[in-house]
Parts: sequence; C-alpha cells; structure tokens
Amino acid sequence: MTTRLFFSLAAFAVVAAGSAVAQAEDAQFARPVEITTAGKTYVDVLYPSPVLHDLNGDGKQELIIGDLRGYLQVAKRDSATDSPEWGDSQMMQSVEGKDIKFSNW
Amino acid sequence: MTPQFVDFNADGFVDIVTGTFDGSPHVSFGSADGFGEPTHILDRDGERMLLTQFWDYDEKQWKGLEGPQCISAVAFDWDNDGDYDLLLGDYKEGLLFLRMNTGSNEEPQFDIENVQVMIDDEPFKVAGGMSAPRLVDWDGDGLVDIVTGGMQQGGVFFYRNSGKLGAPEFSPAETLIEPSASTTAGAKCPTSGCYVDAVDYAGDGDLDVLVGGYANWAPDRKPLTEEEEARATELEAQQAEYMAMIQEASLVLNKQLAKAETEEARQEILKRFTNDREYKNATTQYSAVSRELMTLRGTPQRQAGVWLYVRK
Repeated sequence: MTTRLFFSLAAFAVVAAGSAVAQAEDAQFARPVEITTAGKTYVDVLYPSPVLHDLNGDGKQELIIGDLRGYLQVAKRDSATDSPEWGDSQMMQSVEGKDIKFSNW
Repeated sequence: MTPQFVDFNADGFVDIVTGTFDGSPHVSFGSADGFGEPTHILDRDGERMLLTQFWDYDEKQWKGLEGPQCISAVAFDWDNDGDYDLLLGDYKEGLLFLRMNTGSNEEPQFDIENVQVMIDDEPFKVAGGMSAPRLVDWDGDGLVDIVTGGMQQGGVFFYRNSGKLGAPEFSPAETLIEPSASTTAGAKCPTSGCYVDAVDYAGDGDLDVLVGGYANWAPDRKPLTEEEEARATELEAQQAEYMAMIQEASLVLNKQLAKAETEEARQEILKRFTNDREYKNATTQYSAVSRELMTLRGTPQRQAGVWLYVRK
C-alpha cells in the first residue's frame, strides 16, 4: 500500500519535471514514428516492451510486445517491411491454448 | 517484462527468457507444439534467483524492499564457453548483475551469487533506473554491446564493449536518445519507461531502435507572466523537497519492514508510519504544491506507445 503510494508519487514527480524541458532533436535518428497495429497505437499497454522476431520461420519478423502484467501480443506484417503499420495483434498462446502469462506479483 | 527469443536449452526450439516485476528471471520453453507454461529459472541449488527485492508468492508480500530489484533478464554467453549465462537488471538504480553458468545449456548450473557488472571500478548504472538491457553488436565491431533504455527519465544509452570475446568490458554510457527530450501534444515520443530493441527495422544494414514507453507532456498553455514563472519555479523547488522527504521516509519504512518478523509487527510499523506527523505533512504539502503547479504548468499527460527511431 505504502509502496504503491510512493511509486505513484515518484512517477508523478518525474512527469512534472520532464514537462518543463524543451524538445531535443537527435542527430543520429530520424524523428520517431509511432508504431500501430491494425491502425491503433499501443496506448492501452502497460509498459510496452517491443521485440522483433521471426516466430513462425517464414522469413518475416513479427512484432512482439511484452507488458508489465506478463502477457505478450504478436502483430504480423501486412505492409512493406519498413512501414510502422502492422496488422492485427493476437495474444501469444501456450501449447495449452491459454494466453502465455509470465508470473508477476 | 523484457522478452528475449533465444534457444536457452539448446534443443533446437526458440524459448522466451524474461524478467518480470516479481524480481526474478523466467523462461517459457519452446517445442514443436509451441511455448510451454513459464517458470522461474533456478540456480544450481534449485533456488529462485533474486537481487534483493522480490515478491514472495507464499507470504504474498514484498521482501527486501531496501535493495535492487531484478525486472530484466538476458541470456548471454559472457565468458564465451558455449553456454548461456544470465544478466539480471535492476530497475531502481539501473544496476546490472551476472550469474555465471558453470554447467551447460542442457543442464545449467547458475551461480548462487550475483556478481555486479562494473565499468572502470564503478558499478554499471543507468541514470534514472533501467528498463532492460539488450545485448547486441551496436557498433558492428564483432563484440556484443549493451543498448538499454532509462526507466524514470527515459533516454536510450549505448555501452560499448571494449573488452575481448569471452571477457567483456563496457565503456561508460553514450547517449543515443536524450533522456530529457520532452514532447508537446501532437509530437509524442517516449520519455519514461523506455524499453528498447535494437533491430535493422528499415532493412538498410544498420541498426535502428524500437522504443516502447511513455510519452509525457504538458498541454499547450499560454506563456506564463514573469510573476507566474517565478511562482512555478518556487513550487517546483518545494515539490522536489517534499518528494525527497517522502522518499527518505519510504526508505526508512522499507528498512523497518524488512526487519519485522511477524505480520503484527509489520502492521504496527505501517500504522505508526501513516500516522507520523512529518510524513503526513510532507504528503499533504506535496499534493497542495502539485495542484497549484498544475494550474500554472498544466496537467501532465502520459500515454503509452511504441516508437521507431530509424538511424540516419
């Protein structure tokens, strides 16, 4: 309870501090482009953690997003390989046909 | 969570290795039929691997709140002996620890001690805490480097491996994406909780960066008058002061809780803590200052997403 309170206060303080800083351009990279799945951004995912991997061995990489709760969702390519737009996302499932969940707390 | 797709047990099928917020490394083994139920990766004594803080599933409570907490795990052959060792990343201070595997991939024997990864005799440390390290040859010199994102302050950092194959030595951080880069509405980019993957997304032969995380921004506001700006600056200083007091108190609380032997003792400590006048005052003042600050600076906005940074 107390830890959670502390956690949310800390997160809030960081947000407040960050908002006062001006936007910085980075020379090494083009401007960031937001990734979408079926036309939607990953706005509803808690702490999205992306990784590209060719899961089914068809020579094309899938986009896998892990989240804080321990779930994984997979999006397939349905456009050019350098496009930020991906196809539908499916929850990644185990051999038992359940959503894979890495135990959290 | 920090999924890594790797054939961890060398059976020809890719597995998923990851840390979670519970404080330990996990694996889901792949087979011809798919991925199995995830389990903890255990050390050579059959024990769950931890840094300090972890979720105790039996007692349903956090333990070791005063120390580092593993939320990321990466399989990497540190000593180049043909089997995967494990790197455990701490999110709070951005520390990194190594568990050597003295067995094999088929029958791993992970050390029972955490060996801290150092840079020039100083602990490897990511400013503002670490999401997860990615082990990748970023500079293309044949040695695997570390690319990682910042947790509280965001940013993406590169740690060059300037050692040798089988004996990595990492150089101090080089900034790939500035941690302070904030955004205005309509031009969002991640500035906290930055989870990265370094991949050749564009297929042009160099590595780009995918970043999951949170964009944080203040809504467009009228410029403040000189007086308002001075007041806002004053409030920000007060806010930082109260925050420091709250953090200090939380640290003391966590240490006391760690020593409590019974549930009654824990409850007693918590009760005393929440009734503590100074702590109450600090949280009340913090809220009041934050509220007034928001009327000047606007309400902070936060939104999750995944962004692509293509290398020029």
